[in-house]
Amino acid sequence: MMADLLTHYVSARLPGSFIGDPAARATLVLGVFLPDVAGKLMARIFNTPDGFSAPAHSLLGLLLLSYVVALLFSPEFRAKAWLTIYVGALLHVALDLLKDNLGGGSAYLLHPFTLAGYEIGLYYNENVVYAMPVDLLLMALIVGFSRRWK
Amino acid sequence: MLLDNRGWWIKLGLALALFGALCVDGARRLGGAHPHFAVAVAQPAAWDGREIFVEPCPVIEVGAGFAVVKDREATLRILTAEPLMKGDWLYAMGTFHADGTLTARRVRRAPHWPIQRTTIYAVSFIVLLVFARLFWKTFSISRAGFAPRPSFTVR
Repeated sequence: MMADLLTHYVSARLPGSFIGDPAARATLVLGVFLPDVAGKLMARIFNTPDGFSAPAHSLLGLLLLSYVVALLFSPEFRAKAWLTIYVGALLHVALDLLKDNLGGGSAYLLHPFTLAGYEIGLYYNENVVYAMPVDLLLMALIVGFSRRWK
Repeated sequence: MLLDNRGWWIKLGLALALFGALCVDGARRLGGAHPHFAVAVAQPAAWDGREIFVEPCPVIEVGAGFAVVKDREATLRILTAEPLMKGDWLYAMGTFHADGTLTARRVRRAPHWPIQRTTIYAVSFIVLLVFARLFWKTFSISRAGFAPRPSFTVR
């Protein structure tokens, strides 16, 4: 169960507005998509067993995954790419942690060191659809302000 | 050293191998600790007394104090006082028993889950397409990898 990528996108674009480098802003957004894209790709497309995609939402797993993706960038931009992709991925996990998964945990944050699942329990997963209009409004504000400041 | 091009393939291979090892460990330990209920129903005695998270699935039968759900071709009788109707969708957390039932600690009705899930996936797919366009406008691809285009600004 996941939050929609629109909400994740906005969660990256809000802090991303304070990043001057458009390329770094883009990799921050790339990072915020990474956990779900990698996780769903493994779980749904390759039909991997339960628990296989958990590292796509863990601190260590994401550090490795963002390093792998950063290696695809040019050497001059690679350090910035790794940092922003990882920060974006952490933003994603932070938003997921706010979910209420009935005590089952929204992310195995510290896997493989512990198998505990963590969640804060502020919203139910199915209710993210109601956040979408707010997301669109926030996006309009971000785009509007960024145009005005140029 | 980690980020230059020396031994690029080795670095990529090692990082992928480490990530793969984490995934295999996740499947072995987490998959074993938090199985889908179909796994527990197939071997009820082995999972007696364990906590099981029931992912969103439809209610196919209701009775006094229970509801039967179906997912992955398996059915599970959930013992709950929650008022449920046939055709509802729910997710639940509870304790599994050797007789193949689950005593729910928490049950959450999600009656509109199929349309909500479809909306979430559809919007997510559109967002990915929009981002892919932005990404290709921001970066150019060469033998050195993705490099920022000097002239582009992301809005």
